[in-house]
Amino acid sequence: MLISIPYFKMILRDQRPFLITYAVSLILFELMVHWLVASSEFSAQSMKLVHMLPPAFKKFMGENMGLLSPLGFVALGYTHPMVYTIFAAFPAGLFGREIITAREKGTIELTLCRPLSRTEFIMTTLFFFICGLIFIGIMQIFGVWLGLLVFRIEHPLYIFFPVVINLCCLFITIGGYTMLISASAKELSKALTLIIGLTVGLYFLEFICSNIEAVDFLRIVNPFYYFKPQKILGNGGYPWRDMAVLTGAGLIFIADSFRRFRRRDI
Amino acid sequence: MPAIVEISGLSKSFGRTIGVKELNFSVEEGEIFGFLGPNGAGKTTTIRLMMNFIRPDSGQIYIFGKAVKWGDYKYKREIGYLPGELRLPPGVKGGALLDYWNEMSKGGKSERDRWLKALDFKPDDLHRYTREYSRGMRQKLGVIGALQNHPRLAVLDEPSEGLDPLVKHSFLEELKKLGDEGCTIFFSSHVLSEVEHLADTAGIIRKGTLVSKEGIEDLKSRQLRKKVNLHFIHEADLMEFLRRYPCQAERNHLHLSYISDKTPNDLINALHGLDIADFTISQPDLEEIFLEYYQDVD
Repeated sequence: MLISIPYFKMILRDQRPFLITYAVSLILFELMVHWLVASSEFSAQSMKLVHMLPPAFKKFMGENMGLLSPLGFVALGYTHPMVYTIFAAFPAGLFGREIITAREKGTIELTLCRPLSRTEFIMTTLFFFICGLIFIGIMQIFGVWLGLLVFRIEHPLYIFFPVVINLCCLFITIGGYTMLISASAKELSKALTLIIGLTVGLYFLEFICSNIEAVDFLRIVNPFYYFKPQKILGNGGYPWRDMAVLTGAGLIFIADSFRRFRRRDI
Repeated sequence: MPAIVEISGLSKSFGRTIGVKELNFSVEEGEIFGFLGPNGAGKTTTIRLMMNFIRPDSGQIYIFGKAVKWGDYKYKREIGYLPGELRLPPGVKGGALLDYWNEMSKGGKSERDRWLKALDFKPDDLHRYTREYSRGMRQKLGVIGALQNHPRLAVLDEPSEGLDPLVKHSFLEELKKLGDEGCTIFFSSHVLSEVEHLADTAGIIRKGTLVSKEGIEDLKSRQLRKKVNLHFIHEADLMEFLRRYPCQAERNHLHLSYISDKTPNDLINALHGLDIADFTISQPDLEEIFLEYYQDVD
C-alpha cells in the first residue's frame, strides 16, 4: 500500500486547526458574497454604471455576462484574492510544514527511520493534499448553499459545481509546484518566498497579459488563465479542457517532486 | 558470529567538508559497539548513512547481512533509532507519539513499561504535549520510542545526552541488559567513561576517519594515562618537582599540567616534601587522547 495510515493520521492531527480555519473562512466569505448579492439592486441603472468602468477592469472581471447580475457577482467571489489566498495557503502550509520544516527540525527522521519508504511518505502527504483540497472545495460549496438558503437567492446549487472543481484543478497546479519547491528546498523561508512570489506573480501576469495584446500569448502558460468562473456560470457545463490542462500540469510537477524527494539527502 | 553491521570503504562529503572518509568496520550480532569521537568527528554522518537518510559518495553498508541500497527501508523494521539533537513534533502528546511510532514500526513486542521505568518517566507525563517537555524528558521519550519494540539492532546517537546522572546510570544498566538479551547496540558518544561502562567494543573516529577499533579492555588499558594538574606555592618546589619527575608538561606560572602514564605512587613520591596548593588527577578528555595517541593521523 502506498499510503501510510498512521502517518496520514499524524498529518491530520497537525493540519486540523488550519483546515478548520480555511473551511470557516470560506463559508463566511461565501455568506458575505451572497449577502452582498441579496442586498444589491441589479437594475438597468447599475448595468449602465458597469459599462462606465475601465475596459481593462471589465475584461479582467469577465465580459461574458452582465457583471452586476447576481450570478456574475457570485462568480467574482471565486476570483477574489481572499479565495486564492485561502486555497494557496493550504498547500504552502502543508508541504512547508510536513516536508521542509520537518527536515529542518529533524522530525522527518523520526518518521523515515521506521519501515516507510520515501515514496510512501510523499504519497501520503500528496493524498492528504488531495483530501484536504476536496474538503475545502466541499466547504466552499457548503458556504454557497448556506448563502443561497439564508439570503433566499434562487439559483440551483449544481451550477456552482464546475466552478469549484475547476478552482480545485487550479490549485492542483499551484499545489504541484508548491510540492516541487518543498521537495527540493533546504530552507522554509526561501521556499515560502518563492512559492508566494510565484503565485502572486502569476496572478498579476494574468491581469497584465489579458489587457496587453502584445503579451496575450503568454497567458497559455499561466494557470490562472485556465480558470474562468464567469464563463462557466454564463455558459454552463464543465470546462474539460481547462481542467485537463491544470490537472496535467499539476501531475507533472508532482511527478518531478517525487523524483527529487526520493533522490535527495534529508 | 555474523556481522550485523558491516561498513566497507564508506565516504561522504558535504561540499568541501569531509563527513566520513574510507570508513571500514563491522559490528557483530549481540555486540555493544560504542562509537566514540568528539563533536563533528563523523559519528552522526555514519549513523545517518546507515539509516539511508543521506547517500554515500562511495562504499557500501551491509545491515543484517544485506547490502543497503539507496531507497531501501524494510531493514528498518528491526532497527530502533534515536537521532542526535532530538526534536519532537510539538502539537502531540507523548503517549500518542509513542503509539504512532509503534504503529509505524508495525508493532512488535512492546517494552514500553520497561523503558518508562528505566528512565524514570512518569506515565502521567505521557498525557502532556511534547512542547511542555524539558530537554531531558524529550530525550527519554525518544529513547523509549527507539527501544519500545525490542529491536534487533538499536542505533542510538548520543542516547544519554540531556539525562540527569541518576537516570543515566539506570538507563545504561538497562541498555546493558538489553545487550545481554541479544540486541546489538550501536551507540555514539563523546563521553569516554560512558563507552567504557557500556560497550564491548569501541570505535574511535576523528575527522571522518576511524582511528581505532578495539575491545573495551584494550581501551581501558590505554586509559591508565591520566591528566595531572599541579599548583605549586613556590617556584623552587616546582623546579624541584620537574627535576625529580621529568615530563612533557604545560607550565603556566606555578601551574603544571601533563598526561602521565606512571602510577599515582610515583607522583606522590616525587611530591614528597614539596608545598602544593592544589592537585588533581583526572581522565584526559577525548581530544587530548586523540592528540596524544593519534597524532600520526594528521
